[in-house]
Amino acid sequence: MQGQAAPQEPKEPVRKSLKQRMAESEALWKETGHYHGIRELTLKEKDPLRYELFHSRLLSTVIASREVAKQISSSVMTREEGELSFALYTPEGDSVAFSTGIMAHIGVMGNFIKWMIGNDWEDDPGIAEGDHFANNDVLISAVHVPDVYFATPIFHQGSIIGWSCGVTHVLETGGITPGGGMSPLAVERQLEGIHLCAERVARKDRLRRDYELKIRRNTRLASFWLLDDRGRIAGNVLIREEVRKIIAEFGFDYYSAAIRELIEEGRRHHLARVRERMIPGRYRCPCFHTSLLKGRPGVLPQANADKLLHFPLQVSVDPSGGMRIDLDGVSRWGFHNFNAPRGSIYGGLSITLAQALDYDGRANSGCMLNIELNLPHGSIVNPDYEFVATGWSWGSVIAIFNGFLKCLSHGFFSRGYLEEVLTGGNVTTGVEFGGRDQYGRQTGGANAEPAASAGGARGVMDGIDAAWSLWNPEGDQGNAEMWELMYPYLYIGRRVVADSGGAGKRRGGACFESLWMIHNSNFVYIYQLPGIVRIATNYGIFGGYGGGPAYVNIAKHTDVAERIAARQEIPHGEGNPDRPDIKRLLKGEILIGEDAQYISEPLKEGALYEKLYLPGGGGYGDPLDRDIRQVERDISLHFVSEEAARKLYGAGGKANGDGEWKADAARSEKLRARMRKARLARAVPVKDWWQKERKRIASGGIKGETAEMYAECLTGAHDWASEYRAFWGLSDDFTFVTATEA
Amino acid sequence: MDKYPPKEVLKDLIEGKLDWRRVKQIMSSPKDADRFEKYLALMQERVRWPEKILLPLGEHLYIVAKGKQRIVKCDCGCEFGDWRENWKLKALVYVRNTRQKLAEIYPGPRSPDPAWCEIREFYCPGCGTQLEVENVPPGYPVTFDFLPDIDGFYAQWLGKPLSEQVSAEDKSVKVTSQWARELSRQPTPKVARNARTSSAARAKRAG
Repeated sequence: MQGQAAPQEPKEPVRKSLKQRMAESEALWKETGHYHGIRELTLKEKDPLRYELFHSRLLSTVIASREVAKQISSSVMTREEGELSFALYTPEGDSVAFSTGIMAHIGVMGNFIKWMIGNDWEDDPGIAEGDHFANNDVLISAVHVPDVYFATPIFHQGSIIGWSCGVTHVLETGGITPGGGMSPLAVERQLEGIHLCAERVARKDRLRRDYELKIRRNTRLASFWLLDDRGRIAGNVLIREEVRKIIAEFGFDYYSAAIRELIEEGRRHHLARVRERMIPGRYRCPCFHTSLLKGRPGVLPQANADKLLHFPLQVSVDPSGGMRIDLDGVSRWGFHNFNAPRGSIYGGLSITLAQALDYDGRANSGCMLNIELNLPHGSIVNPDYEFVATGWSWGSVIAIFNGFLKCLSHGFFSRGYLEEVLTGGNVTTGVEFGGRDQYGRQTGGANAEPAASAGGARGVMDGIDAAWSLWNPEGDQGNAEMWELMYPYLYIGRRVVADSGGAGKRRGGACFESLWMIHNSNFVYIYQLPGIVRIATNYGIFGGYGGGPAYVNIAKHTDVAERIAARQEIPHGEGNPDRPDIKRLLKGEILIGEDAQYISEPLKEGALYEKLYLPGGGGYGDPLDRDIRQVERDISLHFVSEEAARKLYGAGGKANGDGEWKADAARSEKLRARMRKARLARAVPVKDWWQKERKRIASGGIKGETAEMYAECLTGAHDWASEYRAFWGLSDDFTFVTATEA
Repeated sequence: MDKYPPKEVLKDLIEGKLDWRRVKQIMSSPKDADRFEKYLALMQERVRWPEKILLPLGEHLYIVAKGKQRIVKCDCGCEFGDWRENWKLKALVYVRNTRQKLAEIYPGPRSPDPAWCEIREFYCPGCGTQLEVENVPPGYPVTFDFLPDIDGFYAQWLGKPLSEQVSAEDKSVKVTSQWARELSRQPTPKVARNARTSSAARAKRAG
C-alpha cells in the first residue's frame, strides 16, 4: 500500500544518517537550551493561522488513525476500552503530535525509535519504505510487555523524514498462566511471554509470515494479537500517507521546520504552565506498594517473599519552571512483576502531565525536556538486572504518579487554581484469566475494565465515580456482554461499591465491583494483580482520606445453581463488607480478601469470583466540612452507607416515611462539634508521639517486612537515609536488623 | 478571558457552589492572570485575624506575615510556628494502628494491616479540624508535604518581591533535634534491637 507521490521539492533532501542527525539535535539542545536550537518561533509568529492549521492537520491525522485501528482490532481491550494510541515523530524520535488514548507512550515510543537509531538499525537490519518495527521490551523502551509498539518510517525523496507509531495493549502475550503478560507469577522476564525487541515484523506494509507463525505458535489468543498488529499497521500507514499530503500542501521545508517548532513550543508551554499554576519549592509524597508472593501456589523459589515497596517521591520546582523528580531512597528491584524501569516511569510522567498540566497545549516531547529524573541505579525504578520482570510496572507507576498528582495539587491550591487540584485516584489491581474458555480453547489475558475505576477528589468537586484511571484517562469499562463473549463467565453483578471513595469535604470517586460466575468451563485460573493489599495506598489531601486496599472474594462448590433454579436470592454485589453477600446467601467454600488472592485449583462452573476495584479516589479536606446535603445525596445513590455517613461525616438524619434518608442539619452540627472535641481528647502532641515512636524504632518494635523495607532503603549514603536518621535522632549508622540478616 | 472568573464567581467556585457546566467552562478557559490576587483577597476576608496572608497552604492553613516572621496559621487562629518547620510537628496526632481503629475508616477486608500501614490524622490543636492524613508504614518520618519558595515566587513569578528575602531551607530537623536532646540521657541507637532476631544478628557480627 503506497501513498500518492509527493510533489518534487527544489531542495536536495538531507543525506546524513539518522544517528548523526539525532546527535546534532541533542547537541543543539545542550548548547542553546532550546529544542533543536530553535530560539525563535518564526513560523508561528509569521503566520499563526497557517501554523495552527498545520498542527490541527497533524492532530486530526493521529486521532483518525486511532479510530481506524480501533475498527480493525477485534480485541475487547482495544475496541471497547480504547487501549491504544498513535503518534507522529521527528526523524530523530521526538514526538510531535499524539492522539487521545493511552498517552503514557508519548515519550516511550520515541525512545524506542531513538534506541534503534542509537544502535545503528539504519545499517543493520536496515530501514526501508514499508517496514514496520515492533517492540514491547521494557529495557529497550516500553512500559510493560502487553503494550506492543509498531514504528513505521516515513520517507520523502529517499530520506526518513519522520515516523508514525502506534501502540495497542494486546490481550494475551503467551506468558506463564494466565498469560496476559502481567501475571504475578511472572517474576522473571522469561515468564512474561513474547518479547519483540525492535524487530522488523512487516515489509511492504505486510506482516512477515514467519512473524505471524511465531505469534500463532506462542500465544493463546493469536487472532486477537494479529488483528491488533493489522490495526497498528493501518494506523501508521494512514499517518504516513496523510503526512505526505500535508507535505504536498505545506511544502517539505515548512513541514520539517514546523514539526520541530511545535516541540520547542511544547517545551515553552510546559514551563509557562508550571509558572502560571504552581509555586516554586519542594513537594513530597511518600508512596508505597506491596508484592505478596510468599507461599503462594506456583511461585518460584527466588520470589518466595512478601515485600513492602517504597517510593519516596520528591518533586522540586525551581523558579525557571524546571522540575526535578527524585526517588532517592527507593526500594531495590526484586523478583516480582512491579519493577518499573525508566521507560515505564517516563510513561507515567507523560500521561500525568498530559492530564494535569499540559492538556491543552502541545502535548509532545517538548513538555518533558525541562524535567530531570533521579532514578537510583539498581533500584526498582532503574534495575541493574537485565532479566527483570516488569509485567505490572504500572502498579508502581500508578502509586508514584498518584503521589505526583498530590504534589502538583499542593501547588495548584496555593496558587488559587482549586479546579485543577486532583488527588490520587484508583490504583489499578486488575485480574487475569487463564485456562479453558467457553469454546473449549486455551485462553488467557486480562479484563482491563478498571480502565474506568475511580478518580480522586478535586478542590471544587467530588471525584469521578466508576470512571477514570491514570493510565487511560478516557478509558471505558467495556460492555459486560463483550467480556462475556471473551471469557468463560457471566456477569451477575457490576455496581458501585459503597464507602469506597476516600472520605473528605470533597469525596473521592467511588469505585465499582464485578461479580462473575464461571460458565461453560471447569478449568479457569484467575489471579488478581496483588499490588495494594495490606496498605492504603492512594492519598487524600488536606484532611481527606485515601481509599482502602483492593481485594477479591471467591465462592466455590456453592448452591448458587440450586438457588437460581428455585428463583431464590443470589448475590449481585458485596453488600456489607463485614458480612459479604456471598457469605450471607450461599453455602459452600467462601474465601474473603487476602485468602482469595491466589487460587490453588482451577475454578469450575458455578464458582463466583468477586473483584472489588478498590481503592476509590482520595478525598479532599476534612470530612466534617462536607455539605450535609451532599452526604444525603450519596446515601440516596448508595455511594455512602448510613453508618459511614454518621461515623466519618458526622451526618445526623433518619429515613422518612418513604424510606429515604434525610439529613438533619442541626443534629449534624451538634454531632460534628462533638466529634471535633473527641479528636482533641484522643490525640496527643506530635512531640509526645515522636518520643514514643523513637523508642519503638530503637528497640526493635518495627518488624517483619516493614523492617526489611527500611533496612534496604537505609543502605548506602543518600539523602533519604540521612534524613530518616536525622528525623528520629538516630546515629549515622543506625539500621534495622532483619530476619534474613540474622 | 484572562480576568474570568471575577471574584464573586471565584468565591462560589472555591465553595463548591458552581454546577459542572460552569466549572467545566472555567477549567476549559485560559486561566485568569490575576487569580492569585483575587484568591488572596478572598482568603483574607475569610479569616478573623489581622496578619497578612502570604500563601494559602491548605484548606485551613496559611503562611502569614507576623511582624518580621513568617508563620503557619490556622483560620481558627492557632499558630504552628516558622513556615520552614513542618507544621505537622506542632499539631496533634491520632494514629490508627490497630485493626479496631482502622476498621472505623476501612471496614472488614478493606482494612490495612497495621504491621504494614498506619493512618495518622493530624488535627489543629485549636479547633480540632483534621488538617492532613498520612497513610504510611509504622516508623515512617512525618512528611513535610510542601515547602514553598515564597521569595522566589513573589520576586520571580509575581514580580513583587517581599521586603525581606528568606531562604526556603527546611528547618524541621531543628525541632526534632531539640526533642532528641531532651532525651539525650539515653544513648543514640545504632541498630534496632529486634526482639526476634537481635541476638542472632549480634552473634553473626561478632563472629
